[in-house]
Amino acid sequence: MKYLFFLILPLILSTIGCSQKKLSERDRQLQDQQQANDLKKAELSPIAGEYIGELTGANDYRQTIRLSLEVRDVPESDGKPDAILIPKLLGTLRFYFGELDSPEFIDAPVRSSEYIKARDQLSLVLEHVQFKEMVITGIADGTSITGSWNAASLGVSGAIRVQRRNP
Amino acid sequence: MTFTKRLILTSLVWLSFGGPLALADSSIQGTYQAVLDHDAKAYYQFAIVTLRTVNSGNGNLKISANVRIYFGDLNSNEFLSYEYPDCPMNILTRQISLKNDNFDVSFIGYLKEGELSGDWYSPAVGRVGKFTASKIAMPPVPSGFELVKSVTGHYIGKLTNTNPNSSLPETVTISLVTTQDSTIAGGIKVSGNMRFYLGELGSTEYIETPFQTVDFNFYNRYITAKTERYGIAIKGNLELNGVLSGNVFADGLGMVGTIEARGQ
Repeated sequence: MKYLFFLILPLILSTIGCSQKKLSERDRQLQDQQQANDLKKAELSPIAGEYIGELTGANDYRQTIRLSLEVRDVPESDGKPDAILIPKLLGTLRFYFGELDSPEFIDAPVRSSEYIKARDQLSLVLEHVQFKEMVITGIADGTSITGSWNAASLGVSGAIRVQRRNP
Repeated sequence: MTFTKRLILTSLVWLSFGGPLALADSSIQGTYQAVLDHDAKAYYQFAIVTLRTVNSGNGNLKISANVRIYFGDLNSNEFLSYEYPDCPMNILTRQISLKNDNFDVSFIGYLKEGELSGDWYSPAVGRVGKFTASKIAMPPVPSGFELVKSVTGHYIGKLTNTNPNSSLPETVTISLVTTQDSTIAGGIKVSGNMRFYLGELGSTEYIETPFQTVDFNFYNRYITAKTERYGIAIKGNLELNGVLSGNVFADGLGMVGTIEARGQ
């Protein structure tokens, strides 16, 4: 009977060994990516939200705006078979005419963004048929975004200052 | 910290953030009182610009407009009305254009904080001049400019016979009346009559005939009027200052003379 134990023990050990097989390169990369994404999401989440404020500089006019940002997973395949979901701050910049929340507004979607946590630096690229592309760069600290904007196709630029709506 | 200090501090913080985020009159829609300049001739006209906005639901704003241009003062019932179903406005430059291929008047300007200003154009003269419009009050009229007179009026003048076969009475009066008519282009119908005094002006000896047709272009100011009787026609210009001058024609004789009459 005690010989039977010594016969079964290696069998059990080999079975356990097989079940703890090392991850493949692809799986390891995906896992690393997932961890990086989780970190990025944690960085971006405090910046997401709704901001109100104004945009100045164009035609000496103070334009009331509302900037809505949310973290979205944007698939980026980069030519590889596995599309990677990259968290990005996307949303809408709403230009109000008249009072805030008036029904007179025009929306410009945020097409892409970049946020560098170390410097609190946020860059947004918006697009709209009226100005093609607008680039906003500023400092985002979670409660406000202050910086500048530029619409190269119109040759106009100015300042932007928004405050979180419901801090 | 006292309440007063706290109030002052709060106000400073609020103002530093830009004060009120938007003024109540900075919305686009509304009625704007306008002054249109005729730069080349030093005249001006009043107008009412009505802007309407519709949010199409996909984040785009559609702006339409109606412009009513008055001849005479703002209470005059002599006006041309233009409808502009689509008025594109750039949100960054705030440039707005009121154009319609079917109309002979267009406006290109900038709209900000309840004020609209720019230039207005007509195919007859190209750029007519500046225009300013405000939701709050009628903009000031340009100094040294005169108000464009209404066509409606009583014109007294002199007809000069230039054809030896013509001996039309030379003291004449013309009355013109405009009425709104939505069935015709421009919306204004002009009618009237012509009186030939055989004696002096104001005497009871006169011959009067209504005009069969009066065609008047409000922008090149060209007028053509044909009497119902005697086959007399006038072709000329009714200037912004209310002076009518032109040539007189008679059926069978051709041009018979010239006329110059001044609005009273």
